[in-house]
Amino acid sequence: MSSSGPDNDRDRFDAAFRTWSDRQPARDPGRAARRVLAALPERSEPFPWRRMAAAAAVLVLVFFGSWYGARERVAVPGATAMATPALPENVMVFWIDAETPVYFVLSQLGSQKGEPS
Amino acid sequence: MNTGETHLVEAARRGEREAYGALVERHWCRLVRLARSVVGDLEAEDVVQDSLVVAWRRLPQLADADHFGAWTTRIVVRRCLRRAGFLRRFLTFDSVPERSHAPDPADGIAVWEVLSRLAPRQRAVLHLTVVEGMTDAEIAVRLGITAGSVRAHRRRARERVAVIVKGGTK
Repeated sequence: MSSSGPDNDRDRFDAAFRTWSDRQPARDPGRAARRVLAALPERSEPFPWRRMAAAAAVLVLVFFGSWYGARERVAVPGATAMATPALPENVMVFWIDAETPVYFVLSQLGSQKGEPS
Repeated sequence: MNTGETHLVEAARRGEREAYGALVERHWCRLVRLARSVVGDLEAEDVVQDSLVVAWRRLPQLADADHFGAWTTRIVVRRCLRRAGFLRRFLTFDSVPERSHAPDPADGIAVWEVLSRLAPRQRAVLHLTVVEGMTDAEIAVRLGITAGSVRAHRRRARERVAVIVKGGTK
């Protein structure tokens, strides 16, 4: 096998990578441990109860907020006025709000209006 | 992992700071070497320190005390990837190679200059493969990806390194 092939390049890089990586850190382990210990919070929390309780409270508030909002929207005065009268089969009605119906009349293209005279 | 370390992990989980300090001492060099390969010399030790503070807070969530080493590796890798993403977005490409203090090796390959041209996850995969000699399955656990993704990252990293090394030594 040729000594200048891709495998050789790979081996050279791997060797250089190991050598580069093998350097000692600037902070020795003892000093690093002291710094880490100095940065630790007071004690390790056995289970994040407080965080879980806060998340649950937020969920409950969001649920009741959305439920109450939906209830308010249903109870708009005049909502009962949206009863649709009997319509012919080719008429559709959409209610924009409680007092604004929009009627769509379905018919064949050009059968009644817009025909050239 | 040996029984002594398991005892240290159990003690640290109970809140014994001295035990945690002993664990930090044991894993510091290995974790800094890994971080150095992903974020470079200047950031590595700070990222590892932050990761170990996070690990202390999450220690009660560690299911198996025997896996402390793998678990901290995973935390360090995640924070390194986040940090590397930040550095990529906010630093110019030209400033990246300067993030290593290391002199070039004798054979002319400037390792950080090569690594800095890889995606951060590819650097992590390459480090765990070349420096730590881990299997695909072990790397997959530490990076939270599949063994297939590990192979794909390594293949792309190898291809890119081959191009850079060949170009750099001509």
